[in-house]
Amino acid sequence: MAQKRAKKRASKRAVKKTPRRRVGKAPRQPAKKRAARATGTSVEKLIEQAQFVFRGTVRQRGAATLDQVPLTRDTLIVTIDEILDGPELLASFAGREITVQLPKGARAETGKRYVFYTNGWIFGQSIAVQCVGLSEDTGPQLQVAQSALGNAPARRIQERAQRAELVVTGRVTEVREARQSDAPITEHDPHWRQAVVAVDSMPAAASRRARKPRQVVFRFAASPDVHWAKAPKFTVGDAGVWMLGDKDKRQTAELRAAAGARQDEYVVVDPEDFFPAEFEEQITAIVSQ
Amino acid sequence: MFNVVNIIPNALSGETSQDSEPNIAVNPANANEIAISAFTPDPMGGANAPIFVSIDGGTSWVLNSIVPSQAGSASGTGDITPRFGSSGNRFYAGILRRPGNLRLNVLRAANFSAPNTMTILVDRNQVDQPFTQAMTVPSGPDAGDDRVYIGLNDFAVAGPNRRTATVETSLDAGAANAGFTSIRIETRSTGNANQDGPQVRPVIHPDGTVYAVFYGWRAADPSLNITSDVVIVRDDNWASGNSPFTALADPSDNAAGRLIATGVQFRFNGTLAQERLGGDLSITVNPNNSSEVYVAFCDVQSGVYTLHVRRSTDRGVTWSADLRTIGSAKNPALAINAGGMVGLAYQCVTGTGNTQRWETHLETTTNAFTASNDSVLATVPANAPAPLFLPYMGDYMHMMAVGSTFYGVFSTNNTPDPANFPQGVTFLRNHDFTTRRLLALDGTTEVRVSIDPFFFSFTPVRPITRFTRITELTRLTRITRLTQLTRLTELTRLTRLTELTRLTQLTRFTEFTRLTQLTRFTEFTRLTELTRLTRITGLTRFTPLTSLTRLTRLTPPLTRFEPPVRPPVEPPQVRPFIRFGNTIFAPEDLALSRFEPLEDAVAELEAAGITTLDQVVTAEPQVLSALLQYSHEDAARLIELAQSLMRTMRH
Repeated sequence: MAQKRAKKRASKRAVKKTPRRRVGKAPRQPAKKRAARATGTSVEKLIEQAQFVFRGTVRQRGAATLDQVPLTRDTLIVTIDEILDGPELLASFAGREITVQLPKGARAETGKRYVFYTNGWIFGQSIAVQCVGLSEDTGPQLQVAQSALGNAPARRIQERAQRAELVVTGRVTEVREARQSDAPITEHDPHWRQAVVAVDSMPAAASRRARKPRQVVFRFAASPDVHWAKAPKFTVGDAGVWMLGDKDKRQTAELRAAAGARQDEYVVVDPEDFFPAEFEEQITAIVSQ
Repeated sequence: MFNVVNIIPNALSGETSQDSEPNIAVNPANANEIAISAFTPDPMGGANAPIFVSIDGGTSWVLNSIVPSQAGSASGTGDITPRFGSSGNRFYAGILRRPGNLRLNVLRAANFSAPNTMTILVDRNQVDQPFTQAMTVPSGPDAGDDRVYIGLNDFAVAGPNRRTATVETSLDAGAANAGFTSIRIETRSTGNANQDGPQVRPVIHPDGTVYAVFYGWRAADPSLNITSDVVIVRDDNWASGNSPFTALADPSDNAAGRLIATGVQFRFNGTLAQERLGGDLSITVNPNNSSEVYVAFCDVQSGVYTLHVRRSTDRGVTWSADLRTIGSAKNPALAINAGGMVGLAYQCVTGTGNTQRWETHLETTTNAFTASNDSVLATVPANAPAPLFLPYMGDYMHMMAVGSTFYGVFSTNNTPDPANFPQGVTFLRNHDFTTRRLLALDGTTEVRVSIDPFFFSFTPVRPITRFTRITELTRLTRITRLTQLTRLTELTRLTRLTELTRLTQLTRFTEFTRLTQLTRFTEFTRLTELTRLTRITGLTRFTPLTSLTRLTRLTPPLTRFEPPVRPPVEPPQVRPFIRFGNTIFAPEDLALSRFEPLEDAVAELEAAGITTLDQVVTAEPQVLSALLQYSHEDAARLIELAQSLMRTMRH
């Protein structure tokens, strides 16, 4: 209990510390409750568009927690009550006031709680976000949002699997140099390597081939350069699930050309092209649905 | 006067990104507006990469995501260099765009602090390391047009023997159709390297002179050991003619491009204390004289990666030998301020093994490095943190000058240890200087050390060269050999005069002035007054004494005696003074016009009846705000600056 009170006090302190700015007099609240269905977009669509989703209570309109924000009637100070989805870096903003810029046509009432679907805008002493949509924080609407957010990672994996030419599980048995002789000398050189994977299985639902191949070969960027920082790197013995190729033939062809890969080789440069062995069961289950 | 700021905003106190390869743009029309770029991801993983924005001269910073990129990018964008036009506030950037590899985007924004995504002016592939410079034509028929020059390595050039050093040029980048063209500036064979180096650095002078320096690669072996020339090209009319960048030829082959150094060698993708190497270049031109140009470059000398600085005073035709040679150094950033002072910022490794440190220096000189002031901005352990990618701190950093002030940025280990930042430092993110820990937004959770960008500015304080008649020289005043004392300077009993101090005919010696044996060449004129306790040493005996020299009873009796002629006794002078704390100042010592950092506000202050520094120091912000019609924040900032200057005076 004491801990809870301390937490509450800390939260209050944080709220108090946040500087406020106001533009003139706060505008009168609209008589009609027009807030929730502001954009008319489905929650799934909003989740796709938004990087920071939270439940929040509108404290003030026409005001901001940052000097740099140009104030309009649609600028809100909102207390974040609960972060539903967002980067770990911003987890501490729960309980704090931030600035929310509403999209055109959206309305929100002071004192009411909403689910805000937002993207980053300005980061300084506080943060300001641009809202792509909001919904009322009622039981059913919140459930829809929470359920959609919960399903989002699986949905992304499914989408990637559906785009893939081939999904396999297996283990890297060989890695060899694959430098292109005519490649320019640049600090951003991908340092292409060729990896051979002995295939264990091919999740049925994701299969676009009649038979499981014995092995697949792909190229990956071994470079430590910033450009390739997120590209997965492989050594012999690495095991997991690969999602290879893309049904978008043009994109696949471009990637193969850039890597100097043959038609029967794939190119793995996206973090979502590979999931390590510890996630194999989970991923296999998702892509097999 | 230094200002060093860790620019990670407070809201991102928990961040641990590797914010390396920083670059800086200061708006020449309003030096309070500063943009910094680095490999900083959008905190929410958005589709745009952020730039750091300050609108108060570097005191506070926010992130503004306006650079088109790719959602979830680890580094925000690829290589990026921003610049402002010199008037009109237009903001430009050359970047390597995500998604894509070696994909050039040239970008423009009307307002760098607005949330709008920057407009794409150029989008093409096969380009490396775009390095942007911009300037608005100050006068003539094209006045107001923004000239933008982006040095880059263009692999789209067809081979073999590719000459890839290129300056992407727009003569009116603010127009709807910016009309960028690719100007090839290499005229020589690139041998089996088949390309030039990635570093192509332009610099612009407002008279229309444009220089660019690049590594003209001549050979590369399979291990990427490079042999290269350092080449400079020049254009005298904004690169607007038919043969741009051909104004300089080398006497060895009459080809365009003067060779500053030939056959330099280094390994591409070599390493130095967790950082990669592959050539470094910087260039600057004197804003008061387009003939004076400095270049810094790196190569390997006896196995040590070495930084060299050279100068030309005849528009690049002839070049000095090394003015500075610094071992284990990289990331040179040269700039010349409005007073002609040259600044050289760089990063170097000192120590060995686990005691290695990365140091960031700023050297300034007013005499082409015959003498220079070296200030360490940061000194941090070189073995932490571990790199997340390369470059560790950056393939380059940048510095520029606006007015008398140098503005720069470097990236380094962000441990909040005041000892690591000898010129002082401000952290906007949560930290504890006592425990030397970074803290998350909650103020308690410890955050691991990472690489952060640090803004710095340096405003040289104008040296006090004139001693006026009421200057009081104390025993600690150091009078150097070039100090000129005026006729009414009063030297007190403890003033020590060195051998070359020039005393003028009316310099008054008080009773305790000690003339040492090194003042032997001092000439005593007819009005020199030596009092009873003036000690004339053995070596002053050859000094000619005039008819009016008063010798007292203690004067050694080896000189010719003339009857004393007592000069008329002057009534004691009433000297005006200002006391501040325990320090006494003459009013003119505190005249606002002496302080360059205040020069923008002097006219307004004087119009309001404020003429001396102490008046600003003791002013109430609200009163000053009302008097000057400044915002409260600006008035407070002005007072803070004045207080800082006063502290400098008192020390």
